[in-house]
Amino acid sequence: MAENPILLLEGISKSYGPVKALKEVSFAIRQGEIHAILGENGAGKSTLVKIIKGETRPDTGKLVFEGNEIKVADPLFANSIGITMVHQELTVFDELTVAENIFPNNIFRTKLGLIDRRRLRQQSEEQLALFKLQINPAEKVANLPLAEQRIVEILRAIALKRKLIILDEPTAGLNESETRILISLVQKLREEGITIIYISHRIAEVLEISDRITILRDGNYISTLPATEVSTAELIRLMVGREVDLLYTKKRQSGQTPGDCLLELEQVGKKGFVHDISLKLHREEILGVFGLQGSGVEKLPQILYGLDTCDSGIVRVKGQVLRRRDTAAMLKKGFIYLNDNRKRAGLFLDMSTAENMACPRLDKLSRNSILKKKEMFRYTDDFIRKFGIVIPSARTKPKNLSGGNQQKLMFSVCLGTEPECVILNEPTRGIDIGAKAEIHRFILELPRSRTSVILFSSELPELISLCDRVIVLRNNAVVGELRGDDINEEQMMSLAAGG
Amino acid sequence: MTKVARGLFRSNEFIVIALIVAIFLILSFGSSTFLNLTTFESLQTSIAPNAIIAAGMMLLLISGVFDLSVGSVMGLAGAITAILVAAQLPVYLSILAGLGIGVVFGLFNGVLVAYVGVNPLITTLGTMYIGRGLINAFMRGERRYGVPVKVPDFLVIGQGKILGVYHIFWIMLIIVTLAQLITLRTDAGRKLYYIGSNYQAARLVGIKVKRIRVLTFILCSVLAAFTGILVTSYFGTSSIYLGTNLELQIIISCLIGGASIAGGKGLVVGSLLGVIFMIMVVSIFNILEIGIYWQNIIVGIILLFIVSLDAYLVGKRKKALGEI
Amino acid sequence: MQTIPTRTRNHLRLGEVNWGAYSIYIVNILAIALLALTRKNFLRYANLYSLVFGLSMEFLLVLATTFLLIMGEVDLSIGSVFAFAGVFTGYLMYIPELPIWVSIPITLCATGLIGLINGVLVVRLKANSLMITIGTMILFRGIADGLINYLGGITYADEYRAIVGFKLLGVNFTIFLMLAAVLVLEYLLLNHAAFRRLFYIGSNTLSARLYGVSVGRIKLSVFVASGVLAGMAGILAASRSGQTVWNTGQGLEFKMITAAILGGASLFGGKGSIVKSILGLLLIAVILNGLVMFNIDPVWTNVVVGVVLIIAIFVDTRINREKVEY
Repeated sequence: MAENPILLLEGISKSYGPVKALKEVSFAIRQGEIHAILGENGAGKSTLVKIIKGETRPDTGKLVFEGNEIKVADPLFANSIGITMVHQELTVFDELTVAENIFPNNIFRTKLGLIDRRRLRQQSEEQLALFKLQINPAEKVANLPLAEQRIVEILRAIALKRKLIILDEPTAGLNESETRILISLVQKLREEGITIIYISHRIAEVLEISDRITILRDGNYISTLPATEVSTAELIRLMVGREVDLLYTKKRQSGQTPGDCLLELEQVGKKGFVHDISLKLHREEILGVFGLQGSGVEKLPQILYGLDTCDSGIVRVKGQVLRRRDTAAMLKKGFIYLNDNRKRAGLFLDMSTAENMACPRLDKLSRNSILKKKEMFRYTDDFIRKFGIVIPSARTKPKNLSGGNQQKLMFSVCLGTEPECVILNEPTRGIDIGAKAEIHRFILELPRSRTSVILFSSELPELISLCDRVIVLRNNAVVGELRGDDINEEQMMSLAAGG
Repeated sequence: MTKVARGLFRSNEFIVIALIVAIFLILSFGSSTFLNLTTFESLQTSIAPNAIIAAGMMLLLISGVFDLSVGSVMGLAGAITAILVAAQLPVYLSILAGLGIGVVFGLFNGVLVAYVGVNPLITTLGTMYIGRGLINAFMRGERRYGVPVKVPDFLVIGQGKILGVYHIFWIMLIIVTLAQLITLRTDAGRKLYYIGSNYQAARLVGIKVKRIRVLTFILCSVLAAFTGILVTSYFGTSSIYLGTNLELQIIISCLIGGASIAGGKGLVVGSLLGVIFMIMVVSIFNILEIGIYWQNIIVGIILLFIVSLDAYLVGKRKKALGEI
Repeated sequence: MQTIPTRTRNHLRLGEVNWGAYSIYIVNILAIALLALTRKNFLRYANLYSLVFGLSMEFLLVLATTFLLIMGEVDLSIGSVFAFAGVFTGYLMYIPELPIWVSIPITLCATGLIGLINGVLVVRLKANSLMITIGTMILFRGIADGLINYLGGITYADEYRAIVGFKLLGVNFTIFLMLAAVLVLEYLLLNHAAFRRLFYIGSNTLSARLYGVSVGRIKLSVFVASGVLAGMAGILAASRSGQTVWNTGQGLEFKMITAAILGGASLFGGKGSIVKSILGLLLIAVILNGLVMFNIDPVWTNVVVGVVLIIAIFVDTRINREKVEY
């Protein structure tokens, strides 16, 4: 791996109004390395990436790619000189085949100028074989699982001869074996001489895969270190600037006798998604649910909250079977759900924060159905203070908040309903360590105010530190329940992956 | 081999062909008048114009949009060309003017949809409206009952035959074949599928989406204008009603032929099949002597059914992915 | 943690004021002033009254359009339902000779049913309301035209024609109805819990569902209301003209969408105001009145409305489009 830099950042600054997102950031990315960028939300990571990929222009400083200064801020231009990004949200052509996705600019032509299908298939097969992948090039991409779709996108970046690929949370939503495949693919990319910028919140993964790690904090460049010379604790310290309790320690004191049963599932099934799920949730307990992708762990929260129906089995809410169990009914019974994708569902990005807070409590905030606006704002301000949301006013729209604050807002919206049970789905996904720790604190407070929690999470440390019990899913069914000291990484993984 | 065969049998196009053949056989055996009325002659002139416009519409649908102004463009181009020819302007110039209408409308629609980002349905409804209004404006006074054209050079275009088959039918065959080949085997044609499948991704891999979008709109409008001129030539007179309510029939034909409102799907030949299917349906109407009002009702029901089916299928796929 | 404000779309801000919110008022004043100054016939009582009266016949339709647009839906069938209601009531009074106080409720039930069909298809199948209501638009246009043809151009019964003539203090009751409805509904839209839910649905339907908003039921009700409102408007219009001609009401749906968007509603949902929608309708009426005043041939009406529609949509898209591109 050569020492010469492929991308030089010199004195990059960027402000959005009064907020300085990046302050004189300078560092170099070497050709052929896997270079990770770590930092909390608000550290400037996403802004930096936007500048590199050409979506926005820096206020000061310059970008030098392969010795030439980049003067144009345009993603198409960046693509044309060899910089590309594989986003979290996929950009595949799902109605077209794998082959057509890998080689989208129809470069294989016959002598007449028509598309040469045979060569297209051959080349795709070669590419797939090169990376030891078992995907059928003639398959419609829409029919592939998420991990393979992401792989196809990466292969496209290679086929288009990009020199610098930015990977944004490439393993988000993947299970263990899929993550392995992706990581080995990324490592193979390095062998091919491609430079990778790796963005991920999974520190363990970052340590495993990268050559060097750059840390940003509050818009400042902190340091670039070789991955082999730094530990997790040190990375966290550099990112956060203070000592933070490692999330591995157990915080939850278990051992209380369970109260009465709030929610009970008896052999609940939905064709194609889950079958024979039985579980009980008691008062004042934090119940965790863990499963790898494809284990049914995506559909179960929807069924629990009434977003989707089940074909078989019984669901008892506080001992009763509800005739029509939809979200409105569950809300009335004291349940609330925190969605795993706040942009898609969970917040109203274009309405004020106060209106967001008011939504689930419209009736309680009205008299004779007429909304009491003063009360609405007071109620909102209370929660802003309580959860420490950084926000100019209750009229601000969530789209103007950072990720961590948006998540805290969504939390507030849910807790404002004074629920007896909250169903949390990946409550700390994609947010920084600081906000994560805060939300963990909020979750631990909940049983103290007589609220139970069902926590769906793919982060084992989170489950270990927060839960009284953990249910593990595999192959769409419950394969085990762990308590106390049994809640540890090895046990959970072995149950989830099948020993 | 069986997998290919299975895929073939389940394909949308095959189902439509089967339906057409079935209806044709039923009608032939069930009604004596059918075979008399439905000569190859009449079929040509009912299928060809629709098929040409449907081919253009199909290109748009593949790329994820559609154009509701085609009927108005057809009528307007026909009217303008007829007026110009009747006013002694050289035939080729008049035709160019008519095609020019197609270019203008296509350009307008395309720029609004591609560069400004306006909803294509509302945009093209607006232009349809404007177009219809312009037709009424030009065909005022004594023109209201049609502008007869007696210039033989012009009439021969629509009324002439080669090998016993009308020009317009040959032209239709050429256009459909070309369009099908282009979308199957050329770079430019495949790009339509990319754009329809994922607009943003297509942009990022370097496909000039906006430019292609505008060109496709222009092509569709020009085809509509061309058809309007051909039909006007065939009838020997322009009509104020030419092209009314045509756009929805065309879209239905394309949807039956395998397109999806969401884009990224469908073959150009499918649009031809869809047109033939609709012609068959109209034949049934004529045989059973169903009035025009009932025809509208049934077309409305068919459209509702097709759109509902399309939506249902899209919804089913979303549910299978576990989305709420 | 600092908040990083994103660049907000402030195309219409000048200084501290969001001029965009007031643009409909401003444009109306300008248009009216222009006409008043250049055409002395404009300010005559008869002309102004006819303008406002015409508005009061159509305002029910723009109410329906606004409520649906706030939720991000449209109903393109209202023009056809409008025509259908007028002729159907006339038919009921003519053939089975039902009395008016029976005919009208039956018609309104029928139009409510049409709205229900629209609603069920949109909600159940999660289909695009644009496409579905085009289907019902064609369907009921066919039925309406068939009825018109069947009735053969008769003039409606006297009691039917008398409805619209009902006056209070020398002014048609529809004008009072319009004023009252606009004020009451605007207040409700801003302050009533049930009406606020429309905005949540339009802003993010999934989020609304999560927080207990019965999206399906609300959408269904508004579609039914749309049918009923279109029916009421159709009856009033038919009462005024005494008979229904072919192609009545064609294009009304686009006029209404244009009016609502001129008034700040958006095809993308989440926005809308009754007062401003009415003002949008007023603007269109003033423009069309202006055409008459300047002796422009009525055939250009369609063209003008089409152009205004495109301009309105253009501005709406520029302001409100998120990342959706075509």
